[in-house]
Amino acid sequence: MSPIQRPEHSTNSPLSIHAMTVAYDRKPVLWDVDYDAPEDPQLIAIVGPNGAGKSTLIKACLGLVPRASGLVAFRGKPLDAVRSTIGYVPQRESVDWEFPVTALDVVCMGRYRKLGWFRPVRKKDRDAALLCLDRVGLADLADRQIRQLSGGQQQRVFLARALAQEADLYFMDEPFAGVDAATEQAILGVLREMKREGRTIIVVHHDLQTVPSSFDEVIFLNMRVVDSGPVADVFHEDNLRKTYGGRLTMLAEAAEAVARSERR
Amino acid sequence: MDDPVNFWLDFWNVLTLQSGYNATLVILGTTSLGFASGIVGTFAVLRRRALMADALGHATLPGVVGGFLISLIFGATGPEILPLLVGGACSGFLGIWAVQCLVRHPRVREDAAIGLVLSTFFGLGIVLLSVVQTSVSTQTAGLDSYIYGQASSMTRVDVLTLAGISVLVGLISILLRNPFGQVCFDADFAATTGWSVDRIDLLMMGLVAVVCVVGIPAVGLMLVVAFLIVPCAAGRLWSTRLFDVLMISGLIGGISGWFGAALSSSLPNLPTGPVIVLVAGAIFLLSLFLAPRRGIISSQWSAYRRNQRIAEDHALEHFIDHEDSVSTDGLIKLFSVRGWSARKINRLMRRLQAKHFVEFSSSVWSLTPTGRSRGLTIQRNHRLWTQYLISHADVAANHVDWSVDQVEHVLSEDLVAQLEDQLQLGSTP
Amino acid sequence: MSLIPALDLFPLFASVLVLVGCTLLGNFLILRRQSLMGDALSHTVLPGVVGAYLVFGSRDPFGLFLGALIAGLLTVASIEALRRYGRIESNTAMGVVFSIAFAVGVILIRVGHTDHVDLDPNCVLYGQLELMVWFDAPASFFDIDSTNFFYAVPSSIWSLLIMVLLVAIFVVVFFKELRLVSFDPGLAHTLGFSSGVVNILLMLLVSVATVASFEAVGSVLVIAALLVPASTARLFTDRLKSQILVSVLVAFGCAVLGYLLSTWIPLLWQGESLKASGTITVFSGFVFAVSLFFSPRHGYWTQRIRARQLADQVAVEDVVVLLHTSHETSTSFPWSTIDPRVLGLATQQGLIQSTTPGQYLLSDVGRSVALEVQGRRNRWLVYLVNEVGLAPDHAPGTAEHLEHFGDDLLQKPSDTFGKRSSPPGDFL
Repeated sequence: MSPIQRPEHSTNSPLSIHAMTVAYDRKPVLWDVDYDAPEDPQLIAIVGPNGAGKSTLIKACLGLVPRASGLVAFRGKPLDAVRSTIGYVPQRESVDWEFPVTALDVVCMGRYRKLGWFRPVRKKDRDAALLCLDRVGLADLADRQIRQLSGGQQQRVFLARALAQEADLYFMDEPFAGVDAATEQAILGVLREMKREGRTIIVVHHDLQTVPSSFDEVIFLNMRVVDSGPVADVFHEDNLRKTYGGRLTMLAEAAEAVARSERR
Repeated sequence: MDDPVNFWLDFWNVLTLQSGYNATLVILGTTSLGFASGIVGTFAVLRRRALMADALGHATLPGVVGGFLISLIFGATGPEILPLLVGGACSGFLGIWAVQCLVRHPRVREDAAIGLVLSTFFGLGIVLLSVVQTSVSTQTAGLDSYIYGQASSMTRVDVLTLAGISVLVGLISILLRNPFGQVCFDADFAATTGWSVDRIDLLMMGLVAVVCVVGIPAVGLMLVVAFLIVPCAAGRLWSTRLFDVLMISGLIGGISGWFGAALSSSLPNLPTGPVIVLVAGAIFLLSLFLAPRRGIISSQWSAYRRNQRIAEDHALEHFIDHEDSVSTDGLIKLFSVRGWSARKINRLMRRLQAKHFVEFSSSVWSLTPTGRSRGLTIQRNHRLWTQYLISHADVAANHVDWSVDQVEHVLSEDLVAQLEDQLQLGSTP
Repeated sequence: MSLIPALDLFPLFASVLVLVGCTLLGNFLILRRQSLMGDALSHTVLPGVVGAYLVFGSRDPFGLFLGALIAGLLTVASIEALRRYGRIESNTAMGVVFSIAFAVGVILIRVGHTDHVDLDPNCVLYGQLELMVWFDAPASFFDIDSTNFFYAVPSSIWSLLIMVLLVAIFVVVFFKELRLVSFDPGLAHTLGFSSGVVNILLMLLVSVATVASFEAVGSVLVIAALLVPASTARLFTDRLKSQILVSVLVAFGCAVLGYLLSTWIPLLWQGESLKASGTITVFSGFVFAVSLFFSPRHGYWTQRIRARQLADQVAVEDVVVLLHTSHETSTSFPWSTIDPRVLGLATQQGLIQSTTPGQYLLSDVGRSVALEVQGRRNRWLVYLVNEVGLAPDHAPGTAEHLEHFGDDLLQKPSDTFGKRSSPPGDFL
C-alpha cells in the first residue's frame, strides 16, 4: 500500500495541472490528472488511444469544458490573468468553410486580443498577419476564400493564425491530421522555430511513430496520466503497453511472426 | 370570468363528454389529432426534420387559396374542405420539395432554406388571399380560418375524417417503428443493412405531412407544428426506449387535445388550437422538472450526489495512502492539492463523520474500521480500473466509471477475477 | 413622377426601412445558422407586443420596444435553459418555446380584441402597409411642404428609422467581433471575447427589428426580410463586407420594386392593390430564385455552362493530339467516331482546317497546341512517377487525364513552402 506520490508542482511551469477530474454526463472522462510542463520551451506531445480524453484535457485547461475538480495554473496564475498569452489551434472539422473570409482575414483574427473590443483592424495588423502567412508559405494565397484552399493549406492558415497570436503557450489539437508527409515536416519546422523563440507547444498527436523524432517530451494519457517526461526517458514499450494495452503488443507479435517466417 | 362555478361545471361536463354533440365532436377530433401528432412528431423530431413541418404548414396557404379558386370554377358557392385540403397538400409538398432542392446548393443551409420557403410561400398565399377577398364575389369567410384554425366549426364529416386519418396514421407509425427508428438513429447504418432509406424517409415525412394537412382546419397552420414538437419533447423526458417514447408522446398529445378542447369550449372567446398547445406546454414543463432521471430536479440532484461521492472517495483514499489519522491543519494541507476550500473540506469531513467513516477525537481525524474497509475497497476499485485500462485499452474508455461503487457493477465477475490475477502477477501499476 | 404617387411615399419608405434593417441582421443570422432563431423570435415577440399594447393602452413606441426586449430576452434565455438543463436539442427547444409563446400571443389577441377593437389578429400576420398611405398628399412631389410632411409621417416610420439606425451602428461597431464570434466561437472564447454577449445583443436587435416591422409587414414576412436578401447576396460574393453591401442593395431594390408591383399589377384588371407585404416577399423570393440560377459565381446555370466549356476544351485538345499522333504514325484517323460539334469548335478555334469534306488537317496553330499538350503530359508523367510514387505502368493513364490541366499546378511559384514546390496533389 505505497502512498501515491504526487509530483511537486512548480510555480514557474508554463502549464501546471493539479489533480484534474473531468466528468461529462454520468462518467468521468479524465481522472486525477497531474502534470507539470518543463520550464524551458519544449515541444510536448499528448498521445493515447481514442476516447482517452486528449482533446478533453486541452479543453478543460482552457475552460472550454467544466472541471469536476482540480486546478490549472499557468506560471502560477489562473487562466483569466494570462489569456492573451495562450494560443489554441482546434481540430479542423469544427470550421465552417463556406464562411466568407479570406486566409488573411482568418490570420488577422489571431490579433484581435491585442486590439480589444470595438477597435477595427489596422494596416499594421494586416501586415503582421501577412508576415505570418509568409512564414507558413501562403503569402500569395492571402486573398483566397478559405474553401478554395486544399486541406494542407487550410491547416497552415490556422497555424499562421496561431503565430499571429504571439502567445507563450500553445495548445494544438491534431494539427497533423490529414496532411501529407511533406507538409507535416514543414509544419514541424515552424513549430521548432516557435520553440526557439521561447514558446512551449503542447500537441495532441495521433501518430506514435513520429513522436520520438519530432517531440521533446511526451504525455501518455488514457483517462489518467500513465507516464510523462522527456521522450528519451519514457518512450518505451512498457509505457506503450500500459497506455495502448494488448493491441499494440498483438501487432508487435504479429510483426515478429511475419519477420520470423520471412527469415526462414 | 363572470361565474367561476359555472365555468367549472361547464368544464367538467365537456370533459366527460356530457355537454352535447358539438363539444363531443370537437373533443374527438382534437384528441385523435393530438395522439397522431405525438407519435408522428416523435419521428420527425428524431430525424431532425421537425421544423420542416413548420415550412410545410406555412406553405399550404397558397394551395388552400388556389384550391378554393379552382373549386369556384367548378361551381362551389363557398369554401369547401376537400378542394382546400387537396390544394393545401399540393403546395405543402411543393414547399418541402423546394427545401430539399435548395439545400443541395453549397451556399444555402437547411435552416435558411426552411425560412426562405416558409416565408415566400406564405407571402404568395397572402397575396392570393387578398386578391380573392377583394375581387371574388362569393363568400370567403372560411378561408382565413385556416391560419388560426376553427375547431368548433368542424362538421361531423370533418371530425370523422380527421379522427379516422389520425388513428390510421398513428397505427401505421407504430407498426413501422422499427424501420423508422433505425433510419432516425443512423441512416447510413440502416442503408447498409438493406433498408431503402429514401423510401422510408418519404413515407415518414409523408405521414407527417398528412397529419399536418388534416390538422390545419382544426388548429390552424401556424400552430400545427407545435402539435408535432411539444408532446414529443415531453415524451422524451420520460424514457429512452423508442416504443415507450412513442406511446407517451401519443398519450400526452391526446390528453392535451382532450383537455385543451374542453377548456377552450368552456371559456368564451378562446380559440381551440392555442389552448391545446398551452396544455401540452404545461405538461412539458411539468415533465421537464419532475421526470425521473431525465428531469431537471432528478438529474441535478444525482449529479450533485455523484460529485459529493467522488470527493468522499478521494478523501478516503488520501487517508489510506498517508497516515490513518491527521490533524485538522494537516488535513487542509493534504487536500489543498485538489483545490478544495476550507469550508468544502469541513462539510466533507462532517458528511464522512455522519456515515461513520471517520471520527474526530483529541483534535485528530482518523478512519474508523468501516471507513478503513470502504477506503480499501475504493483503492481496489481504482487499481482494477487502472489494470483494465491497460489490458483493454482500446475499449476501456467506454466502460470505466471511477465513481461506481463496485467494479463488479460494470464488469463481469470473470473479467474482474482475471484483472485481479494480472494485478498479482504483473508489475505494479 | 406619376409612377410613384406621393401618397405611396410612406409605405414605400417603410418597406425600405424594414428590409434594409432586417437584412443587416439577417446576414449574421444566416452565417451563424440561426435563421430559425429569426423565425422563433418573430413568433415569440407576439405576446410581448400584445402585452405591451394591453398594458400601455396604445401603440406607444416605447412600450412596444420594451415588450420586444423582454420577449427577446426571455426567448433566448429559455431556449438556452432548455438546452443546457433539459438536455434538449436546440431546434426542438426553439420549436417548443416559440409554439408556446405564439399560442399565448394568439390568446392575448383574441381576448384583447373584444376590448381593443383595432388589435386585429390578421394584421399581425401580414401587417398593414396600406394604412400608411398618405391620403392628404399633394398631387406632386414639389408641392410637399415640410411642416405638413412631418405631421403626416406615421409613428411607425419613426420607430423604423430608429431601428435601422441602431442596427447599423451595431453592425459597424461590432463588425470585427461579430465576424470572429460567428466564424470561430472557440477561438473567440480563448481570446477573451464573450460570444454569449454578442449573441444576446444580436438576438435583442432581431427582436427590436421584428417588432418595429410588425406593423408594416407582419410577423411571418419579417422572416423573409431577414433571410431572403441576405441569402441572395451570399450567392454573389465571397467576402463578408461585400455580402452585407450587396444584401442592402438587394433589400432596397426588392422593397421598392415589390411595393410598386403591388400597386401596378392590379391595374391589369382594375382591382384593388395587392397586399404589399406579400408582394414584396414574393418578389424577393423571385429575385433569389433567379440568382440561384444565374449568379456569375455560384449560379446553377453558370456552373453548368462552365462545366460544358471545360468538357469542350478537353474534347478539342484530345482531337488535336490524336490527329497529331496519327500523322506521325500514319494510321488512318477515325473521323466517324468524333462528334461533329467538337470538330466544328476546333475549326472555329483555328486548330484544324477542312480540306476535303469529312477530312481535316492540323493547322500550324493546331500543331503547336498538340505539342504543348503532349509536353504537359510528359511533365505530369515524370512528376507522378518521381514525386508521387505512382507505378510506371499506372502513370500514363493518370497523366492522360491530367494533361489538360496547366503547368501552373506543377510549378507553383507562389507556394514555395520549405523552399520546394508544394505537391499539387493537394489540388487533386
